[in-house]
Amino acid sequence: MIEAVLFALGKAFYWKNFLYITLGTGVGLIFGALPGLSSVISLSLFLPLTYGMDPMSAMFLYAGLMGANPFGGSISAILINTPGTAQNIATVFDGYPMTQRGEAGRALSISATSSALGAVFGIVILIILLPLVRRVVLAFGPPEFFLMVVFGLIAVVVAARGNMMKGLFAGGLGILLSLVGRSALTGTIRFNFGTIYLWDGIPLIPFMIGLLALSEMINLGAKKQKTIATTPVDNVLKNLWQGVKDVFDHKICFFRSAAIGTIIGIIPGIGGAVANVLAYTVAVQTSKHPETFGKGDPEGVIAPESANNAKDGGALLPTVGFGIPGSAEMAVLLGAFILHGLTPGPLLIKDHMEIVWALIFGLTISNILASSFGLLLARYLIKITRINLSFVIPVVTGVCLVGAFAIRGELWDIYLAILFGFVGFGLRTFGFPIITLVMGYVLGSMAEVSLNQALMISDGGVKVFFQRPISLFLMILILVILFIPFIKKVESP
Amino acid sequence: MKKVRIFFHCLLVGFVLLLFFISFNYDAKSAFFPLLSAGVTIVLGVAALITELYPPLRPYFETRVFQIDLPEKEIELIPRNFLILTLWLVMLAVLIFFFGFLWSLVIWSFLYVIFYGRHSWQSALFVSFLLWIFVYGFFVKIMGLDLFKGVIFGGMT
Repeated sequence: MIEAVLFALGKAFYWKNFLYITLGTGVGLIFGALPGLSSVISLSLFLPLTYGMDPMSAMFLYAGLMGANPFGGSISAILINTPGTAQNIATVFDGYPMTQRGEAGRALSISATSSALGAVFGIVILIILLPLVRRVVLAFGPPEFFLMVVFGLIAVVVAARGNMMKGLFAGGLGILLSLVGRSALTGTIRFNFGTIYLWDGIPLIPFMIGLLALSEMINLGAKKQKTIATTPVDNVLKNLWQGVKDVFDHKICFFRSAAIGTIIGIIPGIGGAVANVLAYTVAVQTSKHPETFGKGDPEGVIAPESANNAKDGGALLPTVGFGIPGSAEMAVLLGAFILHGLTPGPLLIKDHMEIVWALIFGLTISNILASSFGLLLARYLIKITRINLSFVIPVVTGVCLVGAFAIRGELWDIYLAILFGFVGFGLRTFGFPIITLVMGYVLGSMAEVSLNQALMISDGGVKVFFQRPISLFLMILILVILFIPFIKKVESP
Repeated sequence: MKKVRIFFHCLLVGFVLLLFFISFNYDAKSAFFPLLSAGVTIVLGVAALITELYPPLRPYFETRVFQIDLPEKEIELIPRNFLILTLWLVMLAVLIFFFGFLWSLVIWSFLYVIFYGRHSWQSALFVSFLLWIFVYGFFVKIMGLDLFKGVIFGGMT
């Protein structure tokens, strides 16, 4: 463990890797500040770009992208009343009123401080829980892994808003798509529709790029949203110190919100938007002066910003521990693991602990860099939001398609990316959660292999799922979370 | 919009049904998991379709565990724009096939910014130049990628 920590720490400060973190942070800030472009898009776009890199350097780059995104989003939330990402929705409520009364610098400074400290809080919790998770994961066998996949999918569906059946259906569809190509068990080619192209399955990069990034470009283009920011922004560098002081003056609010963010992060698939709004709601409900919220209360910025940054540390836990993504970003990160030949889950924790630590250090450095540089560059970053989306769409689309082609040099990959772009757009528009489809795709083969192994252990019977304590616990957990929505329905007529 | 939603839903369920029936062609071990997952997915898909067709059933399957209203600023989707954008993407796919990446991206982004974005040709030129610089600089020069040249320039030979 100590060797892995020191190795990753040394690698993080090696100039080349530090440059990757800085590059990721810069891009993450820009993608965060630009409403419509999320960290999921930036991560998908960078998947093919990191193909030739060694896994650890790639992880530093991804950590940079993920760490900087929430603070980037808070810049546009505070300065132009438009959240840069979904995870900054609640930051608008008090951040923008502060800007209106000439305290933009103070609000940004609060956001920067609580973002950096929130991220560190989440990471510290991750570091504390990691040895425990490691012990639990090493006790897992095939039945537990199969049930963990089922649990992950159901947890995401239940946590998301909308039609549960649609979410589960999308998850099933994702699993089926993962079965295209050569079977990991028997070598039989399945669902290739007579084409050699699909012998190795649906390629990961065009699938991810199409479904996550290209579908968003189609969405933005079809809505034909024009420029985002119109109002000029002043006072960006005033009262910075006051903002830092505000966070330390509201310690309870900070710790409570960071804890909420971390817990939300640990629950698979929920993501920053819920953490952000939930922390804000709790801050209002527990405040002695709730009437000041919505009018520029510093606590209204501290709560959502510490929560949405703390959630990354929490979200890493199920991702690296069990291979179950804690958020949409983590689902793409799982794809990155696979691309770099790393198996998420127990093998990662057992054999590649240095990769986990690389993500931890990368996220920490990225958050600190994003908060300090983001604050200084906010005045310029906000100008990016004045770029018309008609300029952004062709550039991102072009890079998406070249990225889809880059890994295998296969022309059909770009057509597949376009196809999945439209599928993703359809899913998005008609209320099917894309994240469950991606999760199903990423975890599908693991589910098949572990289910088969589990059945082999028990000679084809299902007793094995009930005889082992962890699998029995998971079965009960699955049933409980599956029925939560119905229980809540009965409680609230 | 409802008709399109139902059509899209049926399309997805139909696709899963197709995979379900194809699974019967494989040996027992290879077919077991696809049959299991496709079977469950079909049931879920049909259940979701029923909730689409009969709105009174919908609240029973709505999940809002965290009981939070996310005040998202929704911008209305314009079906006409979607169709036009589809044509633009088809055009890009065709251009890449014939002219390869570098030429297609320049031509397409230039035309897109002028005709779909309604901007000046100077802005269009700037965007397409920027895209070209990035694609050529990063993918060709730094990554050493051999980009598809297009059938006209011998990409298939």
